[in-house]
Amino acid sequence: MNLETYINEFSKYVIAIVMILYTVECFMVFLHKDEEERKGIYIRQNILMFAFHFCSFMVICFETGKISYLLFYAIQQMVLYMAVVLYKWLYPKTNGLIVNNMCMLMSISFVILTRLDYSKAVKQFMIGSTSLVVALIIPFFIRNIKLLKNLKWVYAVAGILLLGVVYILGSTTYGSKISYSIGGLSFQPAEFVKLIFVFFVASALYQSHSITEVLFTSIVAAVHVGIQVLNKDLGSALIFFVIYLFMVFVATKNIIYLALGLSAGAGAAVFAYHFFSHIQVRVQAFIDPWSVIDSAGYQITQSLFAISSAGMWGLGLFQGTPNTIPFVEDDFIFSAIVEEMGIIFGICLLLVCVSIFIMIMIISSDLGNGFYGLIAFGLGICYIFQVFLTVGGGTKFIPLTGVTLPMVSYGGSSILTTLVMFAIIEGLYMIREDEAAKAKKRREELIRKKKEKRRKEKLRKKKLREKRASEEYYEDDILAYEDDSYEYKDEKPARKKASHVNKDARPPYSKTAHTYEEVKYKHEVDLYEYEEDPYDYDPDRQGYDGDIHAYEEDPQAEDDDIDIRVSNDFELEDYTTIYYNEEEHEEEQRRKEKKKKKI
Amino acid sequence: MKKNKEEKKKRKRRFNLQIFVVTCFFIALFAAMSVYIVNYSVTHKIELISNSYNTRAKVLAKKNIRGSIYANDGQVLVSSYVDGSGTEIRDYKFGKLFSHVVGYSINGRMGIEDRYNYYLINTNAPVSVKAEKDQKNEKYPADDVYTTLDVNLQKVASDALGVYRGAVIVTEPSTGKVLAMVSKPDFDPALIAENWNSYLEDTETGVLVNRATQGLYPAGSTFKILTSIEYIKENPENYNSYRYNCTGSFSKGDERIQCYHGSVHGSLDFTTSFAKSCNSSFANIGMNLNKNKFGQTLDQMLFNSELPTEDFDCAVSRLNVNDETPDADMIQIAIGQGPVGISVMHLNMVTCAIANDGILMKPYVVEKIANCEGKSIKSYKSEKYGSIMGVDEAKVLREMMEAVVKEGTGKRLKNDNYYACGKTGSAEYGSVKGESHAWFTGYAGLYDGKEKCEPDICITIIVEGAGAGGEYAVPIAKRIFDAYYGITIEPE
Repeated sequence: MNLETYINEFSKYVIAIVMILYTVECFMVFLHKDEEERKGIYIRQNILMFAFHFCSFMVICFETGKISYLLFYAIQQMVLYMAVVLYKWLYPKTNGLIVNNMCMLMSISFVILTRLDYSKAVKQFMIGSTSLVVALIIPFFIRNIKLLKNLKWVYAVAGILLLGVVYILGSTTYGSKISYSIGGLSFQPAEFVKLIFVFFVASALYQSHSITEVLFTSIVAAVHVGIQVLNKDLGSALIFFVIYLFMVFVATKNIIYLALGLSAGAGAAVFAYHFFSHIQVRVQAFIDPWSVIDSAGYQITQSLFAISSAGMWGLGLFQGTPNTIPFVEDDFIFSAIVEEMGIIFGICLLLVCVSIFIMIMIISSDLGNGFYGLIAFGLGICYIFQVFLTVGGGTKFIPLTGVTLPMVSYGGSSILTTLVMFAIIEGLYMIREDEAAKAKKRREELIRKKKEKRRKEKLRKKKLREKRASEEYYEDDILAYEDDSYEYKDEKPARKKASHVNKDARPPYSKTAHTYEEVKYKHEVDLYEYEEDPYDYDPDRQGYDGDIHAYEEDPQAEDDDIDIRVSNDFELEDYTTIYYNEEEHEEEQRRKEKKKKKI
Repeated sequence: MKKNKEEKKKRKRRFNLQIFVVTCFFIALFAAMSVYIVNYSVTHKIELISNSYNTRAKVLAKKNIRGSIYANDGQVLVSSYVDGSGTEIRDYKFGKLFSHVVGYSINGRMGIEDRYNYYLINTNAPVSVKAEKDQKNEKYPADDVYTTLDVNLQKVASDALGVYRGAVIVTEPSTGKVLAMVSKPDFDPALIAENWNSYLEDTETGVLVNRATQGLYPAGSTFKILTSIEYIKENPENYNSYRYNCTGSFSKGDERIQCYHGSVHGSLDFTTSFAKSCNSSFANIGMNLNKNKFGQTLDQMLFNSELPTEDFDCAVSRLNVNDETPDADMIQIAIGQGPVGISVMHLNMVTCAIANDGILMKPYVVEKIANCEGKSIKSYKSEKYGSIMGVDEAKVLREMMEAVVKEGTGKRLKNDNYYACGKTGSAEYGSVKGESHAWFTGYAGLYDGKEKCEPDICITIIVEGAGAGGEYAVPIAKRIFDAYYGITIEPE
């Protein structure tokens, strides 16, 4: 049929352009600070996401001629739509960018897996949807369980045990021990241990950065890495190492640890290269894969064939031969995507991953240097480094380590872990929003109290004046005027004349404060703000007490820690600046009410 | 205002330097990786599709019908069609004529069929054509390759070489276009599959070797061009005052060389030494050269390095000369014997540079790639490699090469219609004395009144084991020059 030719020819351009637009929207998000203002972007992203999904499956249906794929598509679309809606419904404060990107990556995954291997796509879809449901409850736990930061030992033991079990009982697949079967289901514990490990480092370092604590963390990290090297799972060994390295750096703010860690890592790498033949093989396959094209270099060269044949717009779905790459659904999914959907699409995919990473880093930065901030940071590093390893490995940018592309590659443990990871970040984002809301409330309360005080004062003075006026009713007007001037004597003298004509006229003092009372009041609040830290003032406050403890308990910590503590006060600054202006305050209130109504 | 400043100060504290640095680090990493991926895939596109481990070429071959290859006048050299049983057949219209230069498309491929395989299996056909083909359930037409090859010159060159083994290259010095390239013995590309095993077993004739690009030959007297260039370079003022009295031989220590066929040339100056190709005189010149500088000049003349020929894989001409080179070797090298190995393409390029004021144009054979409707996809322009010798040296060399035709070994090229210049050579090979390859390298152009126009074509010929260049190679050159200028040969 003629139509088919045209669809095959043009669909790849449509798909790539939709992806470009989607990627642009991803970065547009960062131009707006308020989640409320980003709403339009998120809706456009959802439309583009569905456009991509629809286009791709239309091509798949035309190419295969199977109607059953249409049904599969419909169910996928429904689940993804539900995911977007459910997240927003259950957690109105979630970060839309992460939810959207999560769904976009999943739809890319379903498209390419359907093209590569239908049965695997169905399996992945089942696991993916189940994981979505599991992940939905995670933010709730993260938000409400305050115990998480005290489980340092639990994380350490659990991580080592899980990896150890694989070493002892795990089955060997293609030279690496990565999976362990329970009741027919095969798990890859290393995937989950990555998350546990992040929690471990965060719980170990958020309180104290003393040498003993860092040393303890390093030993546990070394055990994790060591077991993974013995399991011949170099990818996750590297991920553990990098998470550890950067988290220690950010927690301690000490570049010496980074330098020490890097040199230790390099030393260990050289040592490992000389003692493990499988590492030598990998390096050889990286340096010159063409000389070992029959053996160790086969995978990577096939992947390079796929990437080099793509061109900017790709060959189009079903037009290439990505299935010639061994393990294309796991470690080389990126090459398959590039071959059929084009280099432009591939680069956009990377940019989407980077936008997730930037968002996580912003969340981490906002959460400060406490437990939650460290977790967000660790998970962000875990995510982006894994993307780097798999894409870099598949394109011969770095040696191949055999890790999956999170959310996109085939693999149950991988998708579950990544979804949980994103859910945790959503939970952290909500904690941040909660904190902001609490601070805002406190600030409002403060302002209200002050206002009340002012009003009472004003009333009292008025009464006093009236009283005095009634007492001196028969005296000259000038007396009353003098009385007035006494009250305002700190102000500009010009005021006197005006007050003589009309006492209630507004003086041109400030653009934001309109009456004398407001001006004076503002001045007072300013003073008040710099005198007291409202966090210390509020004994019920939760969330950042860890940091304060750290500050109080650790006598060695100096200015550095004070900085940390102050850095948590961002909400106060934000809201004090905004709500001085009454009008703006009211508008904000109105907007809030509207939002409530909508919900 | 004060308040605002205060705010800004406070806000900056929210910013976490460490996290910012780590974020920037990863963004930079991804930027580098993206650039790498784009660059790798673009630059390796053509190279990787030819890899035998890459199945994508086969997939493309199933989808597209292999493109055609055209001559410079639009004649089809090769095309593909699908026969009744549905198998695709590669039709080589001129049989053996373009065997080496166009090559074959199976068994590892060769020639243009190999170099431009990527384009010959990919298609840029318009969608309307594709839709039409889909309707008929036919393969899409792949892109076509348009060459600079001239069917007529190729025919003449092939005929002139006859049954001899050897090679002929005809190029345009001002552009680098390859007009004809013959290597003999030749083969029928259509029968390559049938005869494959016998070609592989036959190590003696080397049918599949393109002698024009892959063969390395002793340069013989044609090497005197290079010796002369070096001599002029070292004696720019007084090379003309060179005198030598040839007694038929030259001795240095135990080493003794003779003039070809025992000739005695008598009193010679620099130009006549060259024109008469006097071995003794050139051995004498060789002895006076600065060996180190000579080595540098040779390197500048593309010895010991890959030739800048993108369309051909050429053998690398090897010759190292330096202070440690013994005198005995020097007198051999000066006349192109001994350890001198040069490819026909290389000598042709040197001759082209002489004809083109020292500037070498990169030789190329493919002009453009176009889709099935003739719309250009990619075109190749003539490209300058650079200057490999001075303008003055080139000018002196041209005068000397003219003298070769006027009064030396190339007298047979004298005619009124065009001027021809060149150098002959008889390169001895093997242990049997007297057996030699016949060389000719030279160029020709038209007269404008009495003035000479720019040279039009450049020809390099080797005839294996034929004998003297002046007797065997020059007549071949004459036939090609005549054909190029449209002169019918009068039977003698």
